[in-house]
Amino acid sequence: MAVTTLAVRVAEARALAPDVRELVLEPVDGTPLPPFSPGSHVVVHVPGERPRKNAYSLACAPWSTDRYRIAVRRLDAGRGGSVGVHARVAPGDVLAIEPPRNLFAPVARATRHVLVAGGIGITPFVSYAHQLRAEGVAFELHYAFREPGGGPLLDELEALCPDAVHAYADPTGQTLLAALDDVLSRRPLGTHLSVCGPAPMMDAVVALAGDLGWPASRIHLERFSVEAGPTAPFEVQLAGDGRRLSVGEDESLLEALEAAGLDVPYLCRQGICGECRTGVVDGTPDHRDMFLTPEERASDAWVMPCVSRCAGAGPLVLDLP
Amino acid sequence: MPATALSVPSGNSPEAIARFPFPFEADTYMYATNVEEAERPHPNGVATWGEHVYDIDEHYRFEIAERARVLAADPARCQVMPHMRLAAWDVVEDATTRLARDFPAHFSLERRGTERRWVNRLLELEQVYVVEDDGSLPMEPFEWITRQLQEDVELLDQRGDDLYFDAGILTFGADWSLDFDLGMHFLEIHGPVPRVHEMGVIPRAFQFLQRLTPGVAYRRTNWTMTVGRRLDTCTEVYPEWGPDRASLRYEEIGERLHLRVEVQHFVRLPRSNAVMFPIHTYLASLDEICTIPAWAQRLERVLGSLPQDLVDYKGLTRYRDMAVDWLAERNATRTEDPR
Amino acid sequence: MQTAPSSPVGVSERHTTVPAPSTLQPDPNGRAHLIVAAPGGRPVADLVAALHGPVEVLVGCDDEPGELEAALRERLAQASVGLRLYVAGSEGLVRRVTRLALEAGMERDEIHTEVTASAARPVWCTHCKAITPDVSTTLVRCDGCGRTLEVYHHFSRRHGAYMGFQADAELPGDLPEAQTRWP
Repeated sequence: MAVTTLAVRVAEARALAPDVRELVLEPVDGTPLPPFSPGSHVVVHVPGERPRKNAYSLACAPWSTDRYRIAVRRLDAGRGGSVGVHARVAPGDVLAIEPPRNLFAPVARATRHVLVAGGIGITPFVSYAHQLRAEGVAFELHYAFREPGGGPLLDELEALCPDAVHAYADPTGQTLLAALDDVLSRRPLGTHLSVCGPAPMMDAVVALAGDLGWPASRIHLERFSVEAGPTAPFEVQLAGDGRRLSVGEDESLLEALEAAGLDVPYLCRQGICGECRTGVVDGTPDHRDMFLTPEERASDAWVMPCVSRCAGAGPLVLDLP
Repeated sequence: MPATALSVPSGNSPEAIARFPFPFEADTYMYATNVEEAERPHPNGVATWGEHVYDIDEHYRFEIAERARVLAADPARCQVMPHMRLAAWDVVEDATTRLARDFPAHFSLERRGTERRWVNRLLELEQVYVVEDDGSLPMEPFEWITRQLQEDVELLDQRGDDLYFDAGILTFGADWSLDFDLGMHFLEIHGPVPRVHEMGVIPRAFQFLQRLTPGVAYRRTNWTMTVGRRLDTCTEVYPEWGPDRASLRYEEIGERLHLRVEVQHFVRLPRSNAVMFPIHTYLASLDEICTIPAWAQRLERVLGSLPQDLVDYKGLTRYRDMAVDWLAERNATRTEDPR
Repeated sequence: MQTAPSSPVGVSERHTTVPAPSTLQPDPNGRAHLIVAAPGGRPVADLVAALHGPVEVLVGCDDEPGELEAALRERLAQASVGLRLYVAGSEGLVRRVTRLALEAGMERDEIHTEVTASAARPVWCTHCKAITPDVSTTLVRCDGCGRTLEVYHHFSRRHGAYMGFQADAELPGDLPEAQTRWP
């Protein structure tokens, strides 16, 4: 079913770093924006020749109802959504965003939180910091970034919760891991670990935590992107009415289906959450997601259209009307 | 305060019967996930029900008083684990907002920033408070608001891939215990229910709940039967209502045997990301059901065809056959004497 | 849970709350290990030998259960994430210790248990909330209120006990034969 959207005006736009742009969004009609749970994201409908829908964490206090703030890192190798935010969105523009949803909420029962952010992965932890500080729950935020001068949003986090923030100018990632080797060895029962950042960094932190005896139930991840890989055009056929569609090299299968008027459910649009899972009747998917099990991938019975494609030119026949 | 239930109220008015959430869409019954979007009218063949998540009906004052009596006798019927504080405030905001919008004659809510002024005219109650400030309410927030609702409300904490039942109020439950089940995860709570797992109903319901996002509410119905017009049939007081099952006599069925229907809603709460289940319990005696011939006939067929394990699980064993016979007799009489 | 006056209804194995039988295996992912064992119970030397990292063993004493629990609470208050807990003993000991560990902030995948001795279990009375320990029969007289309870196939980790409710609530005095099911 079609998702309702909120109309917001870009109140401010500024560079937080050469490749990171902050947008402050206000409701067009003055109606309060929905409050949200820490870690929530909104899907922004990015205008352009090929409209894109990208999910961005809300980097502001979770009780903000007068304005939302997002911080977008430009990915030149992506499909153009973040480039659109950087190049085609200006203050005064009206955007459609979907109401906040959450795939990365903090564990409410935890008595202590260790939060680890790499680069733009800091954004979901801004709302965490506001919430945990307001509730008086113990937390520590370890933020690693490449630039020697500091990462986006570091100054305001240090001002908000100075005792909790540990900053690492860390081009190789080793400084962070060395610090975490100590931190993760000495935390009381009741502590939970949340990690967000580039995939190699997250994998290294998860591996380290595992080596130090942290069980899966204490480790919580929000993966921001799946490795994109080369994209080639391919054909799709809908099993229902036999319609054929083409998927261009610079659009995802999900975007092509949406452009053709189909309502495929989605949440993260990044290959992680499983919401857009679609049945495959014929053809071989090129799996690029992180949701399907190895058995499901091998069966060729399912595909995650938000990131996956077709092995070859197709047609990939989908179980859709 | 009397230790036993207050004398029963009068039954349902004809208007209330017309809006009863008669739960059977077919002549046989089997578990289904049977979820639909909420806040839209559901036709029952006579009128409609289901326009609101929280329903205020003609039994409001009685049920509020009954809830208070149950809580006084057993405070453990309402429990909120400390980490569910934010979810508790989500319920306060959700219920006050919906009630003020849906029943403006009875409730009003004024907002200024995080300040609220709430008026409940039915209970002659006025309260000024600050959202998420526990000290600004006269008692724990979840208890404060649920004492003004007819619904039982259960809260599930979203923890990774699982949902944990970590807060709730249950004064009108159908033979289960909040105090025992608190802390269990979703799949466990339904452990003892027969058939639902093989049929995949519970796993599908679980996937559905995982995908809930703030903004759209859903609902489903559940049903059983109760002897006597009695709301509190929690397991804690089974010794009080249990004997009624065994003592039911044929000639009393019309008046004493009730169809008990729960309208359950599912709402993803915005600030806590918890899942909330308000559950409104409706009772209609078989005499009241029989005022709608189509309902009486359908109920006879559903009860008559219900498999034995479901009969046993729903607690109908002692009187199912008798109830079917009674309905058959009433339905046959009606056929012989059409009006 | 709604019940029949006759035998319990069928229960899904995968989703039942009743704990599945388990045997203690060394957890290769743990960095430190704490073993709670019953006196004179299952030998734990082989388990200790198979574990990597520091290992501590606490042995319960039947006469002073409080001492074990106090020692355990103290250890857990000092412990770091990375600890694994192993509990071997009667069902009663296993459920009590698990409950305590969960309250102290341990997660379920950090706790490994094995019922090596009596299967007699604690039963929680839904009516008076008392816990009657060491119940081996399908019916038991509640230590708190004296009612005869049916021991139901529903278990709470939070209470560390099985659910009990009045077996003859519908027809007082009409009780089935009690069976010894968990000796």
